[in-house]
Amino acid sequence: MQKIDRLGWADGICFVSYGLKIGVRVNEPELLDRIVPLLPPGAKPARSPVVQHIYSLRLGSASRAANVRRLNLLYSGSARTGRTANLEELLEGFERDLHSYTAAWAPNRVFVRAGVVGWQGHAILVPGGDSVGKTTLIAALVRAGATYYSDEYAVLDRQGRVHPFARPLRIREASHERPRRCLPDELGGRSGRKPLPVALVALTEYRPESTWRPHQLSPGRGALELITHTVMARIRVDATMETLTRTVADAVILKGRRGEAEQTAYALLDRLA
Amino acid sequence: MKDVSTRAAGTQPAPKARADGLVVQELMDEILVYDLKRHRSHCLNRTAALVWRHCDGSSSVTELAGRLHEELGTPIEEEAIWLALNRLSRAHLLQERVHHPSTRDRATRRTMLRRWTAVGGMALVSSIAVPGVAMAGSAIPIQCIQNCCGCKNKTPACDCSNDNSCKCCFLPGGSTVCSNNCGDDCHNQGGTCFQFDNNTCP
Repeated sequence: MQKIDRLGWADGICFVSYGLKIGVRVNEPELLDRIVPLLPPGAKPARSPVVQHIYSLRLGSASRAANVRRLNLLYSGSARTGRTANLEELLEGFERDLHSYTAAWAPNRVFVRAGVVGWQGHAILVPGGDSVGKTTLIAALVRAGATYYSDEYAVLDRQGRVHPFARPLRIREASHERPRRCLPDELGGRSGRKPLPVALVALTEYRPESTWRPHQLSPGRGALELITHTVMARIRVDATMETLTRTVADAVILKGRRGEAEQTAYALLDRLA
Repeated sequence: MKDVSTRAAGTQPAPKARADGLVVQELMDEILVYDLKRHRSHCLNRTAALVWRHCDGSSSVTELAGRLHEELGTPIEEEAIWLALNRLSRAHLLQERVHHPSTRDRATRRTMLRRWTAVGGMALVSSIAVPGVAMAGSAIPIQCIQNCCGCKNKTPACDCSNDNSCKCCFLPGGSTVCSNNCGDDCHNQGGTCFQFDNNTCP
């Protein structure tokens, strides 16, 4: 870490996110303008300089030698996690790492990989990993009138309520393209703020030409499915078990493949009507 | 796990539920179990949960069937208890492995399984492996942002006399300026102030 400290840093920020104190330092002050929009939703400036984790971003500068440009570097703590000539790639890596760190270590919260929307005072959870069509379904739900909470993490408190993690949605137009950032307003929706109890958990993934004909699982089976999507479930077992059992206690758990997102979205909302 | 259950003909085992290394949560009439040793999670339905709860190490299969009869209000065949014990055993939720001393042919057993399923009396133990974590660790390291203000005029906006008194203000909108005495000003602007001082970290 001392080696990284000695590199020389020009500017930095400290912030609190979901109870974690995190710092970011940069070698070029203008880089901070790009960093701030990438912070986890709800991040607030910290008063203390003492942080639990620090990110260091170093822009590569032109070398004295002609035609040589140093690479941009990203350090998470003392570990180098990014090294690229493309600044956008570096920032994407920073955001991904920062959000993962927050999800893993936030005290008093359990993070489940899931999209979330609010509907009539209750939350609908769509758990799932990458490339299962989670964000597409969440976007369809928002277009259908639901309130946007998250397309990546369901942030659960000890009572089993879900809190917003309302970063811009990452909508991928084609599988090989980079996702486009989209605010809920662009979909005709808005972001929720209040924690909500969970009424419906939809365990689904997109399969072309499938029809949404789910079967219902018991709350216990639902909790079991959620454990596999819970960040740090192996490390924070007690908190995970306690939180998930409360989350699913009054929820309907549906499992099945889905076809087009719009049809599934309306079916889910009808279920809660 | 020892295997001592049905060693002698005519004797019945007295299975005992495993307690160590498990985190258990009750969820209405189901039980959710996390096996800390194997990192597997199990969901026991009502019948399996009742059998597991009554595995006290002294009750025989016949006695277990009697207890479930009382609690469920419906007769439970010993075969159903054996099935539950077998499933609990395979999930490593019993202290000793239990083998089913089945004397019935497969067709008879299949008929019974269908009947129990139809009345919801079948013991089910659903299991799932909990995925590993890339960011596992025992504690979050405490670190301090070091001297990054660029004091000594490395950054034009910074006005610090020495590194140890250098302070930075985080302002709404993401801009950052440095100042010797920005605390009150920052509060007025809705932001806050923090100090880059490596030497004051606890």
